[in-house]
Amino acid sequence: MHSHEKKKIEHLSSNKRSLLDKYLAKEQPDTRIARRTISGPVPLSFSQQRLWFLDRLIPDSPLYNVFNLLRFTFPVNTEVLQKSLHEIARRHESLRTHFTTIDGQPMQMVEPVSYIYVPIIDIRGMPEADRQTELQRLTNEEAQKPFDLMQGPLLRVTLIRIADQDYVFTIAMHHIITDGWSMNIFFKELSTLYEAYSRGLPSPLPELPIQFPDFALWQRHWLQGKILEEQLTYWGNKLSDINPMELPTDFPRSSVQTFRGAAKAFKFPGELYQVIRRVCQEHSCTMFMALLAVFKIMVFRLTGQHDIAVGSPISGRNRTEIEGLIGFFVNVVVMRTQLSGEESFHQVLKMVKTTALEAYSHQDLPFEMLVEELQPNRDLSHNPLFQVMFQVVSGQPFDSSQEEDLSMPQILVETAKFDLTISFNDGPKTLTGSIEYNTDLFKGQTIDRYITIFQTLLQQVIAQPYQPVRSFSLISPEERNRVLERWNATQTDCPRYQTIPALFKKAANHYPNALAVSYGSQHLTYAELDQQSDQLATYLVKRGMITEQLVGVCLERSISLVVTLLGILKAGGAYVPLDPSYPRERIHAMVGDARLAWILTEDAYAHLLPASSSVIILSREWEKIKQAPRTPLAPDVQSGHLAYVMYTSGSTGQPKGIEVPHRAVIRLLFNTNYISIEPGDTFAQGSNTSFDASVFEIWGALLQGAHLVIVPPEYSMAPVRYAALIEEKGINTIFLTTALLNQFAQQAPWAFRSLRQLFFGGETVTPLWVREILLNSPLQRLVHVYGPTENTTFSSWFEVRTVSQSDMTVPIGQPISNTYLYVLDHQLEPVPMGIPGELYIGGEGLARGYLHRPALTATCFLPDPFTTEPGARMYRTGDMVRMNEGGDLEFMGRKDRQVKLRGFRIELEEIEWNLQQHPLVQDCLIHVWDELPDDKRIVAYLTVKSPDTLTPATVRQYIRERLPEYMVPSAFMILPHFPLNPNGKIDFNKLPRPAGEQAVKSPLSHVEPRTPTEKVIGDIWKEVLQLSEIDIYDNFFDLGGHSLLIAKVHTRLNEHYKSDIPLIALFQFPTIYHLSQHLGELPGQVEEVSHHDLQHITDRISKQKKALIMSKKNKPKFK
Amino acid sequence: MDKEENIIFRVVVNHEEQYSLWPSFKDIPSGWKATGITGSKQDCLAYIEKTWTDMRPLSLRKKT
Repeated sequence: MHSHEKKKIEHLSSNKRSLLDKYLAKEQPDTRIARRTISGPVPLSFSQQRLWFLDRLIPDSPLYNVFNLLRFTFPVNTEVLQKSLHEIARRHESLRTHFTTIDGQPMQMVEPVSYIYVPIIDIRGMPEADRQTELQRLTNEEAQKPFDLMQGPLLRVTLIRIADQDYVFTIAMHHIITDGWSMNIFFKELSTLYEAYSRGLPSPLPELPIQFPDFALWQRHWLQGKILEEQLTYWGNKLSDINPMELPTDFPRSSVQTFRGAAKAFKFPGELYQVIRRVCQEHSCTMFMALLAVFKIMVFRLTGQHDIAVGSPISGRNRTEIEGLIGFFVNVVVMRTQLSGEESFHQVLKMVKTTALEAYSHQDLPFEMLVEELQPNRDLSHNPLFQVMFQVVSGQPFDSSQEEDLSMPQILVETAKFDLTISFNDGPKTLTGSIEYNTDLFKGQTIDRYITIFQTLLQQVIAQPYQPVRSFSLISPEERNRVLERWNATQTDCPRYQTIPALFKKAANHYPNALAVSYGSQHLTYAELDQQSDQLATYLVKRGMITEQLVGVCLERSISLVVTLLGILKAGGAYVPLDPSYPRERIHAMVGDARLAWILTEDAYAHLLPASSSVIILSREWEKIKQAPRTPLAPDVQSGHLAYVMYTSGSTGQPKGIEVPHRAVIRLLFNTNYISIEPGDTFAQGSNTSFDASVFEIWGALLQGAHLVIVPPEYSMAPVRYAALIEEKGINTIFLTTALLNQFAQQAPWAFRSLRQLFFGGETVTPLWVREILLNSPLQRLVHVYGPTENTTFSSWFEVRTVSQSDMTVPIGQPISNTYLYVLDHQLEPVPMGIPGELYIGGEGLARGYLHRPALTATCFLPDPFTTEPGARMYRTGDMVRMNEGGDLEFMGRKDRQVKLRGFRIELEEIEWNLQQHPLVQDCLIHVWDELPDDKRIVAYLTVKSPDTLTPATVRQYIRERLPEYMVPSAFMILPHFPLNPNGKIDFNKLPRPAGEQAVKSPLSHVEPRTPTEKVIGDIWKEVLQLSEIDIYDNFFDLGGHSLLIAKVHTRLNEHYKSDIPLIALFQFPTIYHLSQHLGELPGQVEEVSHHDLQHITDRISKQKKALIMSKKNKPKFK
Repeated sequence: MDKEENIIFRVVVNHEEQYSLWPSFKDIPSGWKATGITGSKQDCLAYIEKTWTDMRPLSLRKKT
């Protein structure tokens, strides 16, 4: 149907629409299928066409092999077996079919007679021990051997003799001539015929009324006009705006769907099976509907997606004439349901039942036609319309006695047609099944987890069918206990009722003559620091400072800064760092937001501060301060009082002040699991005070007798100079932001040799650079730390020992002491191991809230439902994480770094990771420019090792080959270095905006093919699409192209160049411009090709092909 | 959490008179009590903005 006709129908009123439907129903032509009267080649059925096409797209693959085994434990009469097989092939034309193309169109040909060769492989002579191995090897080989559709036969059998009365019979067919139902027919006929012929009787089977090619012809004739319209309209409405399922994968999706796979079998307890059967009876629904309802609930809970579509096979045998035929009749329907989460299981079941019944009544539309109709936007990374196939096979296998036979060889699965294919066997006594999964997306452990989750959920929905499905748990009670309690058992004793100045005093009394802080040649001992800060405190109190008074501190890193911070705390106040390197407007905004009455600063920075505040210029007061007596600490300060308020940029751009009490800092530094601080340690103070790593550095050193070495600003961002300072000062403990660590890895990876411990974190980690550090700086401890300022500097830690080349991340690890980490789903319930969730943090490191922001505080600090401490809160981080098998958390990205483009969810980190794999890319980051709501643009920023050889165009090409088209950034910009803010983090605001010409866009003006290759492709397009004019930037599919037409283009192109360009390249590069760029300038005639050119072309082609051909490496071992 | 615009929240408060939001379909965690205010996130936050004027924990307010 043309789209304008469809639109017309869509716009009819419901009355007119139902009249039209009635009219159409009456108009149904005679639906009986007759024997064909013509002989010779016959067109393919629509479903066959898709498999034929897939075979061209993925040549030489066993992906659509249908493989079965039978065990014979009697002396087989091979002649009778042979005769029975011949008779089956005589009865069914499908088994004598192969394919050809006539004028680019695929056709099926039926051989008049067929000889089925039955090779007999006798392994009786082998030693017992080797026999089983050999048997498995032979069956694997049979299962994996591809068919040649053009040659046939598409049925292949072998008889393997293991013992005198023990045989394994293998049957392999290409799916294009068979399906599940057909295989049952095959087995029944084989059994009937063998029995009859053994007794010398003729075949008792009645002749078949028609044959598969008759059906194929009839289908083409029948499925047009109004019948087709009605089906297309139904499905068009049902499946409009469908989005891919977002089941969490272990590996990023590649640019082109791959088909490497494996399978996991499972078995649920027998009692469970009986209960589900009862549920089905009560609700008059099938096992399929019940299990699909549970699966949809599972997907909803795992992904938070409300709109869930799965594919499901349907036998297609809804006409009596075709019931007894062997052939490819099975069709796929899409089952789409919307859940809100408020429904009970009963309600979901009802919805799924309605969906299924409706789908069954519109089952005649071949899936391939639906795809052509609904999916003009070719995305090769996903299966169209659905990613998970779900099926329930009822009844028993052909011979159920074989089910438990342990000596039967395993049927090896090395391919996967979809992301997941979930198959259940309904009965007879238990619920068994298997999941075939794409091994390029999922690990086996994840599939095991999905199976456990499904069972956990199944048990719950049956026990509580009236409860809203959002309240179910995906996690077993044992695992829940493990991830919530055992894993979070981090409580230790720490001086939690003390304050920072009290603990400093203690240290000063212990180590009065030890160096406390030094900067260049200046330094203070603990006693001196204690005295000076005491005097400042007295001065401040005299000037009227009260407990929790907020005091702005606008100073560079210096000894005087340390004295100032300590003095403020001793006076009972809380400091608010105002970084003098920040822009004036930002400092004013912070002063205003914090309503600061006092600001301590120096002359040099006074111009940055608003005139309205009371500014104390320290150097002018210093004489007065030095006169002040030393008074004891403010007595009423407690560990719950604020120590500082630190500003971070909020998502709205408005900075927010985080209020941190003394206790939170003490829990970071005392009796904790990730660090031990000793009096002899020397800490570097390289972080600005406006960044909370400074809390770790300053108080980490000064509360336990260590020496704090201030890193001058000109050193802190210059790795080589910094390295010299480490040597000179004997620094042994450092914190670095991840961005800075990356720069060290590139410029001075050897810098940390003498360190005792290096902590790094704060941004997404690049494993490659961490590896570089490990290889070049054999230090004692390299610790990856993670934590939001709202939970005081660090929340989790991971000691990095090795990083392998293939690691995609370095974990953020486990909670630090007195800290609880929870990975929760959309319903605030813990997720199972391996499943991504949002990280929430509780414990003693929590900030009090956001200064003067009750609503924001209430939104981000929630009741902690998991702790034993009543009334406690937890902080919602907005970070997505998952727990790996080792019990360590892996950071997966910011929740707000997930963007949706054209319905696809994109993790920006995934693009970054892929860019990072390019050998010449030094560092990269992705930024989304989205000034306009409908105009999101992904831009990649890169620093490169060799700017002369790596251009934006080459990077684009590289990334195109690895990532789905919708993830390819619209512009690539190469920068000399990334802009960092004063805290050493990337400053996104300073990234250059891509200029118009850098964002590769097709020009608006018409461009005719220019080069010889463009002209060749253009001419073929014009001919195939029947167009007189063509633009090199036009998309083939936008011009009305579809899979059969592209197959035609493919044939012509290869004929012209006498080459073997893979079909997939035409999908990946759907414009003349991109395709010719990809192919390079091909010469017009093959004779003219120089050796060099040929090598170049074959290299390109084989590179493409490599991505497609099923790798025979890494074969999973069978058990 | 789920798409928040669709959720009905309760305004809850703890022993330190710290306010927060909690989805109405979930049990209130121990140590917290309902204020009686329920509604959209926006409504609940408007109430909190108006009511929670002294954000210091109650135990510290008493002593200072």
